[in-house]
Amino acid sequence: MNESVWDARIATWMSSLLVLCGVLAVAGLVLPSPAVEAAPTPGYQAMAAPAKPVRLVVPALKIRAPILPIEVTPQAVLDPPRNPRDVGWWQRSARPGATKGQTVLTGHTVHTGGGVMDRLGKLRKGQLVRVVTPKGTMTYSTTRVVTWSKAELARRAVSIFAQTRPTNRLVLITCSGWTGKDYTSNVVVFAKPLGVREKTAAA
Amino acid sequence: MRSSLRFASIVGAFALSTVAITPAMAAAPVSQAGANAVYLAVAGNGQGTGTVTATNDGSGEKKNNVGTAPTVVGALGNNPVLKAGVAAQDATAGVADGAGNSAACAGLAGEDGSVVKIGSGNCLKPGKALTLSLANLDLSNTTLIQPGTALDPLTSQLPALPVGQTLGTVTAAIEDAIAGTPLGEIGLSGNFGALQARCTASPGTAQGTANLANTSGDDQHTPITLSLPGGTSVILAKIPVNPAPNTKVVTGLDTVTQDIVNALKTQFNDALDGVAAPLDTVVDAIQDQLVTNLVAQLQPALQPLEQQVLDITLNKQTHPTPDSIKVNALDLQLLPAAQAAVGSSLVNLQIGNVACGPSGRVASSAAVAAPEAPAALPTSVSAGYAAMPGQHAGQGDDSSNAIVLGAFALLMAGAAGFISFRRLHR
Repeated sequence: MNESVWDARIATWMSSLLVLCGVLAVAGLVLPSPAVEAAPTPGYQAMAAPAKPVRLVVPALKIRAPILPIEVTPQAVLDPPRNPRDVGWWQRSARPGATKGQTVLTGHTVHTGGGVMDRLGKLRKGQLVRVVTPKGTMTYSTTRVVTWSKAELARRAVSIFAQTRPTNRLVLITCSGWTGKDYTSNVVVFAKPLGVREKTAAA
Repeated sequence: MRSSLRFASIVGAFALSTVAITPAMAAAPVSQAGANAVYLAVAGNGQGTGTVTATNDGSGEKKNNVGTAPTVVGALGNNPVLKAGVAAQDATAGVADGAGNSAACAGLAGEDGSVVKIGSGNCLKPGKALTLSLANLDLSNTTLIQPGTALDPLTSQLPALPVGQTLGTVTAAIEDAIAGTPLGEIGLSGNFGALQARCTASPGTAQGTANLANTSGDDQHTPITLSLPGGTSVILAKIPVNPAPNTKVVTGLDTVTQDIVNALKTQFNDALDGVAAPLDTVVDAIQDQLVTNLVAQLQPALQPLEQQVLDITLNKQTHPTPDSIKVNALDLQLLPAAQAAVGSSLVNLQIGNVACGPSGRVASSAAVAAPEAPAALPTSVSAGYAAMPGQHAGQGDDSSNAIVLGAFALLMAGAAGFISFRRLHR
């Protein structure tokens, strides 16, 4: 391979890098920064300190359920509490009120009915989700509702579960895609924190 | 450019190889244990059931001598001390969370006893009584009596006597006599269901225990009996089933000291009378001197008896290092005083011998490589039930409701029919 070929390749790489830098610069100007996204919503204030979640309330779906801490199995499976009416909080995920990471909650869907998250897929963007803690109730606003296959979820495990996010968000997960034998997919709901409702606003 | 890349590649490959090889070269056992059911030495000549050893350097357990000595008879042949029984000896060495751990268990059970898998518990289930007996111990092949020791006074005088040529005959006779002395007829017996020791070790610590299950019906103690010529027997001690570490069996030994001395004199004289008769009066002096010297040599050794003649330790524990241990369920030494003569106790019997530790940790690089990371982040959420727990799939709310409605309709139809029937028959 002669030097002219190398020169051509290097030029191509450099050009690509320049284009990428330009794209990033534009994106940085257009897209809101994390600091802007994390700014308190009017009527809400930041939680004094992160706290363990104890109850999930989703008014649009008439969900009011206790939250119990859960742990991932050695096989990397996150199992909700045994009682399908309870919600599980992955205790290695962020506590509500944290400014970083992701708060991961999961609950059962029961094909014959009765599961706490049977209707999670019905949630719509903008609908509120409340997580009660001993130090206040965090309110979240739904930003996205998606259904992913089990394989897709596994591929996206880092983005869904990793606690390296610079801003906090709530993740609700349940099963879907009942085949008559098992579930083939997951419904995943993302919600951004609004904060704890200010007392004046609440009154 | 190309030569630089080649050089860099070679250096890189060498570095990688070094990193890969170094742990293997440096691999030392992080856990280790050994087990031996029985060791019997007569005058320093030992035989036993072999030793099972297990080691682990983090790459897997390695064991030696697995499956040795299924029975005492098979292991010790025609030994006069232990009769038929079941021997167990096993050791294991593992690694958990990067920390080495080991365990060992060894011992004897009577006939029909059985070996159970080694673990944290015992490795033997008791069978018939396991009788420890030294009653018929044959001392004729030992070198307890050597001209250089007990017979020193005699050997220094005999050359000046006209019977010097008879030295060999007399020495042989003495050896024969010793073979038939009370020392050869001392009986030590105890009936055990099983007699075993076990140990465990992990980084920084090592523990051991011994268990002497008995068959006497007494759950707490097992009697050890010493029998003397003429049928006399003395219960030396009632030993606890779970003796404390380094329990000495000494109770009552001093009461039999004189009995043994007297028996020794009688036996020596009786034995020598026949052999030495042709030597007339000269021999009498030699005989007196011989017996006197012999007993004189032995007598200090019998005081105190428990230290010089019979030394039994139960649950003998030693710590070669703070994080390792050796345990002997029973360590018996007959005539330790013979050490000066033969370089060892006349008889040394050890039953249930185990050793555990020391333990270490697998090198941190291996620990880091442990598959912990994948489990830290979920890759699957299993949040679906076919039906509510306790409810079969396919019998959901709808079908349940249908059944209830059907039953209700039948009930109403029955009630209507009953009312109609009553009306028609009024």
